[in-house]
Formats: sequence, C-alpha cells, structure tokens
Amino acid sequence: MYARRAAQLLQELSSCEEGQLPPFNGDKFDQVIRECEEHSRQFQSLIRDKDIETKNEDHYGSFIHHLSIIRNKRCLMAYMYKRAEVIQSYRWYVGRVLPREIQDKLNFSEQEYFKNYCSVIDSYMKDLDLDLTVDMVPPKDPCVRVRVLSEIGEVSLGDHAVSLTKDSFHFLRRTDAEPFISQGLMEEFVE
Amino acid sequence: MNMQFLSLKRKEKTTLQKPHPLGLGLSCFILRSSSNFISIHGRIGQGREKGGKKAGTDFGTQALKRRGKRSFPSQITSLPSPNPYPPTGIGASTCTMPGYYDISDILMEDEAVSVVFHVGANGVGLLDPGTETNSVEKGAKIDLPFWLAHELCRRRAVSITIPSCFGQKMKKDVQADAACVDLGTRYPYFYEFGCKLFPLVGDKSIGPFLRHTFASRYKEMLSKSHTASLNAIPKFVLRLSKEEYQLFEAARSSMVEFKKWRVRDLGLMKATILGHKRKTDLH
Repeated sequence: MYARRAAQLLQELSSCEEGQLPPFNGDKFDQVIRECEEHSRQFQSLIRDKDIETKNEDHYGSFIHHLSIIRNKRCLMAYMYKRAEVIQSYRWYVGRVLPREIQDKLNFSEQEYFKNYCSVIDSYMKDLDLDLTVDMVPPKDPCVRVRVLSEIGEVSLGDHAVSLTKDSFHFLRRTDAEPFISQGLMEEFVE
Repeated sequence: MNMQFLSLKRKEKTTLQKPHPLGLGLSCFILRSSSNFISIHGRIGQGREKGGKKAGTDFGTQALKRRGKRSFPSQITSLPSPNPYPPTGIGASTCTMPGYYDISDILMEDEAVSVVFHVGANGVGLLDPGTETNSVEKGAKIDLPFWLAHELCRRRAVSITIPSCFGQKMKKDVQADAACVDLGTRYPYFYEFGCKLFPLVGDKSIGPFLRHTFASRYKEMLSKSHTASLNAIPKFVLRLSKEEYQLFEAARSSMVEFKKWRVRDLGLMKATILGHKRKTDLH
C-alpha cells in the first residue's frame, strides 16, 4: 500500500544495467493496479455525502488516498516509459529481429510496440531511400575485414554472391557486413 | 555562489522552479576541470549535454529527450509542476529539473521522513502500524515516504522533522572528515533529498551544509576519479552518493577516452614494414 510496491518495481528496473531490461513483472504490475483500486474504494467511502470544502479528518484521509493513486500512476508510467525507451534502442542497436532472450523479457504489448516501431522506422527509411541503422558510429574505413563465426551460406551482396562459410575471411563493404556483425554471426577482424 | 543561498533565505516559500541551489556554486568548481567534465557533469552541476552518447549517464539522454516529450498528466491537486521548457538565459546551463518520468527522482522521493500530524486523518490506518482504529490521530508521529510528507506539509497538515542525515551528528562527522562519510550506503540521495527538504523545514542551515559537504568531498573525489582504473572499483566509490557517482563515472570514462585519443594516430600511421618480424639468424 501507499506506493511501496510500485517503488519496488522501479528499484528492479533501475538495478539493471544501462540498456538492459529485467523481465516484465506482470504480477507486481497487477498488484499495483489492484492497490489503486483499493485506494479508490477507500476514497469513495470517505467523500460520500460530505461537503468538499470542510477540512475535517475524512478530507485528509481521502487526500492521502488520492495522492497514493497519483503516485502509483506516476511509478507505473515511469516503468512503462523507461522500458519503451530501451525497446526503442533495441531497434537501433540490435536490429529488426530480437534474439530469444530479449523477447522473453518483453510483455505481449511491448512486443507489439516493438513491431510497430520497426514498421514506422522502416517506412520512414523507405521514403528516404536510406538505411539509417547502419554506421551508428561513423566508420573510418568504408570496407572492413570480417571473419565469419557461424555458417551463413551463399549471400548475394550487391552484384556478386559471396559464400560465407565458417571461419572464412572476407573483405566486405561495411554496410553489407553490419547486419551480420550485430547479430553476432561475423566478427570484425582487427589487427 | 553566496547569492543563491541569500535568495533562498529571504523567500519563505520556494517553488520547484528555483534553480538548483548547488548549481552555481558547483559550476565554479567545474570550470577548473577538463572541458569534458563540464559537458557531462551530471545532476548537481546540471550542465547541458554535448555529444550525449559519451556521457553514458541516464540523465544525459533523458535531458535530450525531455525536450520532445513533455506531457504531464493533469492532476487534481495543483503541484508546482516542473517547468516543461528548459529555461534560456544565464541560468540555463545550471538548471534542468527532474522530469515526471525520472526514475531516480521517484526513488529519491520514496525516502522516509518522520512527521508529526497536525490534523487527524480517517481511513488511512495502514500508515501508522500502532493504531487500532483505521485512522491517524492528531499529534501522531509517523514515518511517511517523502512524496506524501511533502504534499501534506504544503497543505499544513503535518510538520516534517529534520531526518538524521542532516542532524547534529552528521554535521560533526562532516566537520571531522567529509570524505570519509559513507553516503553511498546510508543516504544515496543525500544532496537531492536535502535540496527538496530545504524549503519545507525551518532549518536554514541545510543549504550551506550541503554545499560544504559536497565541496569537501569533491576535492578528493576529483583526483581519485581521474586516476581510477577501469575494472577495479575503489573502495571509496561505495561511499559516494548517486550524484557523486555520476561525476565519478564521467571522470573515469573521460580519462579512458583521453588515453584512447592520445594513441589514436599511432595505429593509422604504422608503416607495414614495422609489422614484419625481424629475421634473427642473419646467416
């Protein structure tokens, strides 16, 4: 009661590293919502048939319940907002497809949010005819040497096809290699 | 620096729009540090973010995003809502208020303070574990979370007693040796909490006390943070409050970047002949 559980939710979220998410704690979330309903019931019982202006004890009691509801709301909103921010960053730093571990941490509606966000970004990039998600750090070199970590097979990059077998070295354009590097299938070969 | 505290003393009621009381004072300290420090000087200095990625602090990216997303839900009680638009002008670089969604602000407000009720309140018996009826008596002494105490104090329903972290014992500890005071485990939100508590409590000495504490701790922290290694966590880091920890991280990452920058050219200009191994046998 009185927003302690909501604060625990936020503690959980803030204890994670930057850019990481804990699994969506649906149970606590629902408990906080039930607490809000409880506060609301108490509030209703305290202000029934009373004159709003008189500042008697019921007034202060109902005020405290009202403040608790506002506070719970703020905590839940902040929780959702922070998670939404991290999910947005996943599109930019991880890619269009989320690995299994990350997907398990997301709520159903968060997964929907991610899909919609991806489609918005994609339609924008299609209008610009420019892929904005590559080269998040300005590269020093347009081409990069890569070593393939796991078997990918035949991939057609631009006008020629490259067969990406395990542990083979290639000299590719950075824009072509980036999606594979971000998924962990290739690594950049730095001397 | 002193002007800030004089203005705080003169006015009895302060609103949240006041510039952060430590802001101006600390910017003087910052001017002596590297320029990197200025740009990623977390919450206390309230500096503007330049090149936000490097800061690595949550607050940095939030400061950038806050300018776009400012929609405060309507509230029945008229809270002095934080100024939605960052102020411009001379005071601008020292003042950005925590937003509605700011998690560390929410967690900070969850700290417990001891209050004395001036009025009774019905239906909230859970606040007071010792009560039998479902209400709080007038004159009861209860521990409330700060957000609740703050609102009730504004409406003169309670009065807040100064918590122990700003009491006499703490003042003596700080006088003895400020750098050894363990803020990280006991009061991680020491400075923020003090700044919010300041207008509600009658004690005018909290402001100068906070500034004095920070100033004494800053000297030592400055030198140690620039030379701290990346992997090991020095013991004194555990004693830092949240805001000081952000400064510490900023200093550490700026030193790392600086070292990288110093050796950047050597990689590109290394001639290929240097990569060949020398033949040891010259027969």
